[in-house]
Amino acid sequence: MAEAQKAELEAAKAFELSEVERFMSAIKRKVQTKWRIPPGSRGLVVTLRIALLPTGELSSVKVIKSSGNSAYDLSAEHAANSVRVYPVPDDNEIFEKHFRKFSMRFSPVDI
Amino acid sequence: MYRYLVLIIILMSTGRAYAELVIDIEVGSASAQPIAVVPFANKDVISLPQDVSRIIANNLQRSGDFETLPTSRMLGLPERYDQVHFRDWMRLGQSYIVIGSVSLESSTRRYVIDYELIDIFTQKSLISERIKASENSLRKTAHYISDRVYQMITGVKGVFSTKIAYISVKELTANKREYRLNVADADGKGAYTLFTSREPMLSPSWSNDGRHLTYVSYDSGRPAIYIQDVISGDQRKVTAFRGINDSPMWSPDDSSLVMTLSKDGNAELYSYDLSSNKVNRLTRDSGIDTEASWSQDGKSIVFTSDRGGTPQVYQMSLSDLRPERLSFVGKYNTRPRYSRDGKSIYYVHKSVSAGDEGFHIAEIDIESGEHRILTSTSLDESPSVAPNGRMIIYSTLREGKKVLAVVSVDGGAKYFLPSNRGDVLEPAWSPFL
Repeated sequence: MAEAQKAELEAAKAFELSEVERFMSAIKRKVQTKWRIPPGSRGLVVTLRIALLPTGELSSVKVIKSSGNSAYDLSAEHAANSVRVYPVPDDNEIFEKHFRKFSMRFSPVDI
Repeated sequence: MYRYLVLIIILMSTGRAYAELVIDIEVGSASAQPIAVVPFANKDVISLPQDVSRIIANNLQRSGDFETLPTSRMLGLPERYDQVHFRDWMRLGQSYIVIGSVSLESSTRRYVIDYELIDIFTQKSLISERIKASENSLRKTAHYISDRVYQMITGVKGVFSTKIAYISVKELTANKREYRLNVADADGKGAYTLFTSREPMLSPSWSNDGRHLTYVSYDSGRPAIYIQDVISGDQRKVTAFRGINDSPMWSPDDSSLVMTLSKDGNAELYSYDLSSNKVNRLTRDSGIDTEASWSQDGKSIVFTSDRGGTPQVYQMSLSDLRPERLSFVGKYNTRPRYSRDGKSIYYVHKSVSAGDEGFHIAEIDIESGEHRILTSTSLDESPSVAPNGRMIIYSTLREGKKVLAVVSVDGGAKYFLPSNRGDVLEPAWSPFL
């Protein structure tokens, strides 16, 4: 019994992890197509807090760690705001746990 | 390009039991920023000598960093913040909107321009300003507003208020030509002539304070290097050595010029000190060394030399005077200019691709040696970099005429500058003025 429970728990965990990875990568791809990196952004990093509704609709975007460059922060805010509906898991528990609120960190590689 | 995701877990200090996801965004899209420039309301039904909002829209569109919304697709023409229906603009895919109005102040006969830049997503007003302008300064005001909007959104200074200098050539009769040195706004408008001659003129270059041009003129029957004040028009001859006097270019501190002279034999590079009038020889080689250009820090120059058999781009530190070859692709790479960050060089490259005999503006990364062609036009000459480093102006052949063209350094935007002065060539972009 305990063995079976353990196995079930492991499976649920594995499923959760794969769902999180799957939707993280989907969100990442979607935001990347919307992000217009301002010229001269090398080395800048800005972190946003994203809040979503269970439908994937955007509830709020907030700069929680500014890059110190207002045009750069603005470009990230715009990218986050430009995605109308975020891809989110159907499983409500996984949504609540990971995608209700999360952070996005914008740092250009090699531009 | 897909990068494997790294799951980064940050423990929250807010006391929540689980960790919060952090998604790293490292790659963006190169497309232009959507912006709507709404035609400014004309409050006093006056006939305006300049369409301010149209100039702004054209400027932003041409920069390549913005995609402006055509007026015909706008669902309303707000002039004040409280008239903006954010949902409409969002539905049209816009990120920003510029609105405003122009009125006439009857007591002073001056135009009053109120404008506002608004962020569609956050509904924040990013710029809100009132400017008064005379009839003659309306264009200048439109360029100023364009610069403000451009910098607010891109974080980079706009070049809409800068100037370009260029040479125009007009065929008068079968063997008589008229050469002019002209200065115009960065959009090609408002051109005026600084110097006219029946003899060829070449390679104008701006002083870094934006007050003078240096160039080559054959006005006296043979080549000489001149300096001319762009405001007063005062002109002086700097050098007229025996043989070649060519390709003058200012040092970053404007204290000297680098130039090509053949007074000691063949074409070599010299620096010319403008206060002592002393010349200092920089190259010693049996090949031709010419078309030098100074780095921003003044420590090195790039130039064209055929010392290796074909014309190629070389870089030389001014402390050791040891040239190092930078270009290796193809048999013809000339007229180098440093990028504003000094990390790459723009130059004229003769294509080595099959079926393409053309000359293009190309870029080489100094560190990696990586080479990239920027233009699709095919008889390109004399690149000159905008002071914000985002665009390059050059001359090319279009419908049998020499015209000026602009390309953004990432190869995105391209446009031609209009001219009614015959052939136009040898453009030089001014510094910030």
